[in-house]
Amino acid sequence: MNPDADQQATVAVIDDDTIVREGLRALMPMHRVTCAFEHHSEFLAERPSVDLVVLDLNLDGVGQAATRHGATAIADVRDAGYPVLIYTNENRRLVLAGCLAAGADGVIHKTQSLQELADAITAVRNGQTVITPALTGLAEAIDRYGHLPALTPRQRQVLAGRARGKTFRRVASELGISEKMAHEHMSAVTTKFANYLRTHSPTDLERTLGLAQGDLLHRPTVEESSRPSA
Amino acid sequence: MVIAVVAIRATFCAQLALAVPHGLTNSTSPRLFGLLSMLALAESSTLAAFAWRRRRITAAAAIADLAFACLVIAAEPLYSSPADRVGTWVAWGFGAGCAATLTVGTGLRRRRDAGAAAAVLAAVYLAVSAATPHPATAVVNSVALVGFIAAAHLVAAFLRELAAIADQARAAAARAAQEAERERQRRLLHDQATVLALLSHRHDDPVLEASLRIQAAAASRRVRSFLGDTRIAEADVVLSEDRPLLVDVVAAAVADFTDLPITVNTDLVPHSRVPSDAAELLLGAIRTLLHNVRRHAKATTVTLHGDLIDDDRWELSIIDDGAGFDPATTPVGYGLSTQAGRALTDAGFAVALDSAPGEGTRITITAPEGP
Repeated sequence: MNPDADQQATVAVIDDDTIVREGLRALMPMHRVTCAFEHHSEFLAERPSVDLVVLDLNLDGVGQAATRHGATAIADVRDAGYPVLIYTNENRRLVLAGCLAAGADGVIHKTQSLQELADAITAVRNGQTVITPALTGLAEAIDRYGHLPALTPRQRQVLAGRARGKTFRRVASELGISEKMAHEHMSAVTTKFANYLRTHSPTDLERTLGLAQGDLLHRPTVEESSRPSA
Repeated sequence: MVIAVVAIRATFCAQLALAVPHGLTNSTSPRLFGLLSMLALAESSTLAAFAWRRRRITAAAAIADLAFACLVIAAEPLYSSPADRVGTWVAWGFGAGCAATLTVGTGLRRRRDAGAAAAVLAAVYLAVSAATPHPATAVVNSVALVGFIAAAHLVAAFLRELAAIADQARAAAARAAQEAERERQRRLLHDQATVLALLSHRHDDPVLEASLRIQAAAASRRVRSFLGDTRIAEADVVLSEDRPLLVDVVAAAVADFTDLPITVNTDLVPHSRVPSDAAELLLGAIRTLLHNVRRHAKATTVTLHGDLIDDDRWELSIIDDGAGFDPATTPVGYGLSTQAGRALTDAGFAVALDSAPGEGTRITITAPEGP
């Protein structure tokens, strides 16, 4: 009996790379890849019964056109009722933010470990939003410029720790909370962040980040930023 | 020049509007005076709107304006007495001529054309005004018309030349940036081609195989970094600046470490600066830390994060999730080379280090107080 059976998710992989499709089937820890497709249209034609979809941000082309293409795929799969985890080599923050805006439930890089991918799948299956470290930094900046709807002080502390690259374990121990609580606080933050992205255009985002110094509405207090002691 | 043309037209129209009541009373043909005044207002506003929209004065517009000015000057005898013709309250042809000098001087690019236009305008004005009680004023005025056209022509030519130089400079900068970008691509592809070629061979040596795999992973991170939106900054350029931006110092420092899984979060400190005399020190310290991460940490994430602790004091943290070490038992040089740490402290920075085996390493560098 698999001890993780209650955590195990059934996954569909959509990726134009054969190695990724076959590799994830063979190597995925914890979860079960039950089917794989080269293109999202094939997936939509078949509509298999799975818990979520791991979708490669398939960039046919470059720049804006590519972003639009990716966004369409995400929206189509999402509209068909599947949670979407983007699995990509894409590294530009605004493109990744665009994926969340288009409805993706999570973003993870192909350079991250399979365990991290498996954890992300678990989180998305449980209704959480998963973001990359760079997107965490973006979330913190948007919050600081006063555009994320009221984070609680705790959520803000967890976000500050994660944006600095601290592990959940570290954040939890610094704040004197359980690791599970730290995850939950971060999950609330990412949900608010994803909602922000879905209701604002990329231009809003750029304008927000282009704000001049002095527009910062909130600065964490010394305790909040929980800096490491020497 | 377009702005000047629009401004002069507005002034001319205002003056004309002020002169109309007086002109209607004293004109020998109020009807013709009124008609010409209306035409002049319409012509001026059309010309101003046209110039504004096109962002330039075309030769056709200049010739049309010249023709109109000549027409109203030539029509003066039909609606004004000789005594009124040298002033501008009734016979406002000189005003129209003055306004036209800027259009003609700007719109006609060839000196010969502008000269011919000046001659025509002055001749028409002289012909109409010489037979008045003040012939000397008429001569002075006609010389002024020629002078205005010459001045406008010289200024417009100078501005055009300046704009051409600016365009050339911009094009040269774009070419240089393109060349630099191509150089980056060449450098990147060169290394990756070697790794790929080695990987394509069958290797029976497990040590070589393992080493290649590590290189391939680093290569994939380099390509990913190249494809990303990482800020690009060259160390030499950054260090040559007066009080360089913290974001640029960080970008220049991480540029040599694209094989590491680095995330740079510096959105909170877009305007923070580093004291000029400490920039090289800081850059060197960040590089030393990243060298240590590369050599010892086996990290899956390295995050450089900037934040403000008050209005002009920033704090940079460098945190990895790698092997970590025990600062009590490991020589200090492990985490942060002694020299780098001490030099930063001597320069007024505060440096804090926190690590434990299996817990990664956290280093915080805080800027000195004051600007």
